[in-house]
Amino acid sequence: MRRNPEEALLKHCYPVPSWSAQKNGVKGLSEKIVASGFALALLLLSGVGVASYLSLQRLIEHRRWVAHTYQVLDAINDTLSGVTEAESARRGYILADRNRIFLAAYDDGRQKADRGIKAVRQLTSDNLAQQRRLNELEPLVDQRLALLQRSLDLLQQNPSDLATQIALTSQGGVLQQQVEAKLQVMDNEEQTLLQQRSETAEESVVQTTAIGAVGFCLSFGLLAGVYFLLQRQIRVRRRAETALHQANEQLEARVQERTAQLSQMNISLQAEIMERQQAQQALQQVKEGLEIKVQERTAELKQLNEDLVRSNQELEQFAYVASHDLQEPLRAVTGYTQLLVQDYQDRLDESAQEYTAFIVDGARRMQQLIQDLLAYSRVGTRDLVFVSTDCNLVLNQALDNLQVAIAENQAIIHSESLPTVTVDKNQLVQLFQNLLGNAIKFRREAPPQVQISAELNGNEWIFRIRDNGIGMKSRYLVRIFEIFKRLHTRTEFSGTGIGLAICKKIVDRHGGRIWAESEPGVGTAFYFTLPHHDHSNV
Amino acid sequence: MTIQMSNTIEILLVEDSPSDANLTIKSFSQAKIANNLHWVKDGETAMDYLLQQNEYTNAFRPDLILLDLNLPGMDGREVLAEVKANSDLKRIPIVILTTSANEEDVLRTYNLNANCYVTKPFDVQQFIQVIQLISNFWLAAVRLPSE
Repeated sequence: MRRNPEEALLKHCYPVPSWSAQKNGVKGLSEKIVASGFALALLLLSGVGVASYLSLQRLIEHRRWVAHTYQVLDAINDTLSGVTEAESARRGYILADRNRIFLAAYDDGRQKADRGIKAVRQLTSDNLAQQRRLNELEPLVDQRLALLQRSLDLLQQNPSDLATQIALTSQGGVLQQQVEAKLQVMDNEEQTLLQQRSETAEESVVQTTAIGAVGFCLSFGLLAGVYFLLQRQIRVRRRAETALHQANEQLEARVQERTAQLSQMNISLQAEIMERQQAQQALQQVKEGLEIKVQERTAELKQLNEDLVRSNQELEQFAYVASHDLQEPLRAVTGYTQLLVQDYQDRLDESAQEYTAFIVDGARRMQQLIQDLLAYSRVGTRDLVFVSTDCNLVLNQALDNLQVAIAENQAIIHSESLPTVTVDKNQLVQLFQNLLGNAIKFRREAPPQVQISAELNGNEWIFRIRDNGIGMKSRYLVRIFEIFKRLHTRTEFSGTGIGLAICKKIVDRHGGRIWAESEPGVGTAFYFTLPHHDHSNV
Repeated sequence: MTIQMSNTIEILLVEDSPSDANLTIKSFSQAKIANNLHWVKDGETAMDYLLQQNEYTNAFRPDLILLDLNLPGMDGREVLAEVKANSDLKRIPIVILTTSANEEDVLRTYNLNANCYVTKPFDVQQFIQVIQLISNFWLAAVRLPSE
C-alpha cells in the first residue's frame, strides 16, 4: 500500500523529459527557420540598399548630365544672343546718330558671345562632334564680330559712307545666318542629348523606385513570415511553459503530499518504535521479574521438597506411633468397658448399659478410623514396585480375600479377560478388592451381580466394575472419593468412608483416573484407567 | 415421632452420631419449656422431614433446627443452603452444632445465613451445659416467628 504513491509519482515523472526533448527538436527547427528568415531579410535589405544606392548614384549622374546639357544650351544661346545683341547695338548706334550708349551694349554683346563660345568649348570638351562644330563656328563668329567692328570703326571715321555700311550689313547678314545655322545644329545636337539624358534619368527613377518597391515587398513578406513563425513559436513556448508550469505545480503538490505522508509515516514509525522499545523494556522487566520469581520459586520448591521429605518422615513416624501407641489406650478403654459390662451386668441399669455400649462403639470406631487412616497413609507413602502384572491373577487374589462376603451375599462375579499391565501388584489387588467389596456391600434385595471388563483406549486401559446395587444420586459421584466421606449412616452400612479414597490414591499414583456412573435403584459402574505399555498384552 | 399440641416448641435435630444425639436429646428433655425433639441422622432425611415428603408427610413444621455439618450423603452445609433458599422454610432458625472448630466452616455457614454456630465441647459436662444454654435461649428468651 505504502509504495503505490511513489510508483505513481515516478510514472508521472518519466514522460516529462521525453516530451520536452520532442519539443526541443521542434523548437530548434523553428529557431533555424526564424534565424534564416532574418538573415535572408537582412541580406535582401542590404541588396536592396546597394541597388538603390547604385541606382540613385546613376540617377544623380544622369541628372547632372541633363543639367550639363542645359548649361551647354544656355551657352549656345548666350553666344547667339551675344552676337545678335552686338548687331542690334550697331544698328542702334547708327540709328541713334552714334550714341555712345550703343557702343557699350555692343561691347556687352561681344563679350557675351565670347563667354558663350568659351563656355561651350569648355562644356563640350568631351563631345568631339560639338568641338568640331565649335571650331567651324568660332571663325564665323569672329568674322561676324569683326565685320561689326569694322562697321563701327567706319562709322566713327567716315559716317557718311553708307554704301560700305550697306555692304557690310549684307555681308554681316550672311554671316549671321551661317552663325545661326551652326548654332542651331549645335542646339539640336544638345537637344537630342538632353532628350536622351532625360529619358535615361527617367528610366533610372523608375528602376530605382522598382528596386525599392520590390525590395520593400520582399522584406515585408519575409519579416511577416518571420513574425508569423516567431508568433507561433511564442505561442508554442507559452503553451509549453503553461504545461510545464502546471506539471511543476502538480509535481510540487505531489511532492508536498508525499512529504506530508512520509512525515506522517515517520511520526507513526517513531511512535511505533517508541512503543516497541517500551514494550521491550516492559518485557525485559517482566523477564527479569520472572527470572527472579523463578529463582524464588525454585528456592521455595526446594524448601518445600525438603519440608515434604521431612514431613513424610514425620508421617511415617506418626504412623508407627499411631499403629502401636494410639491403639493401646483404646484397647484399654474397650477391654475394660467390656469387662465392666460382663462382670457387673446385674448391677448396671439400662442407662449404664446404654452408656457402656456407646463407649465400646466409640472406641471401636476410633480404632477403625486409625487403622483406615494408616492404610490410606501407607497407600500414599509406600514406595511402589512396578512389575508387569496379569490383572486376571490380581482379580483372583481380590476375590480370594473377599470370599466370605461373596459367599454371605451370594454374589455373582463375572469377568472378561483382563490385560497385563505394569503396576504395583499389591495396590492393584487392594483397588480391585475395595471396588468389588463396595459392589457387594451396597446391594439391594437381589443377590449382587458384578461385571468386570477392560478395554484399550489409545494409550490407556479403561477398567469397568459394574454392579446392580443401590446406586446413588449423581450429586454424590464426586465426593464419594473424599476421605471419610460417606453417603449412608452407620446403621445402614458399616464403614468409615475410606475405601474409595484409597482407590483414588492408588489410581492417582499409577497415573490414571477414576470416576463413577450411577443410577439410584439400578446400579453403579466404577471406571478407572491405567497406562498401557507396549510390552503388556491382553 | 410424637404428636404434641401446637403450643409445644417443635425441634428438628440433624445428627449422625448416636452418642451425641443421645446427649442432646437428654438435655432438651430436661428443658423448662415444653418441646418436642425429632432426630434424623442425615441431610436427605432432614429435607424429607422439612418438606413433608416420603415417610414424613404428616411431620410438624419445626420451630428450631439443630444441624450438624458433617453428615453422610447430603451434608449440613447443603441442608442449610437449601433451607435458607426456600421461601417457606428460610425463617426457621438454624443452630449449627458441630465438632468442627474450623474457621472456614464458621464463615461459610454464616454466609449461608445460619442463625448461630456452636462447637460441641469435648467435655461431657460442658456439652450438656451448652445444650441447656441453647435450649433456654432459643426456647425461652427468643421470640420465634409464628409460622
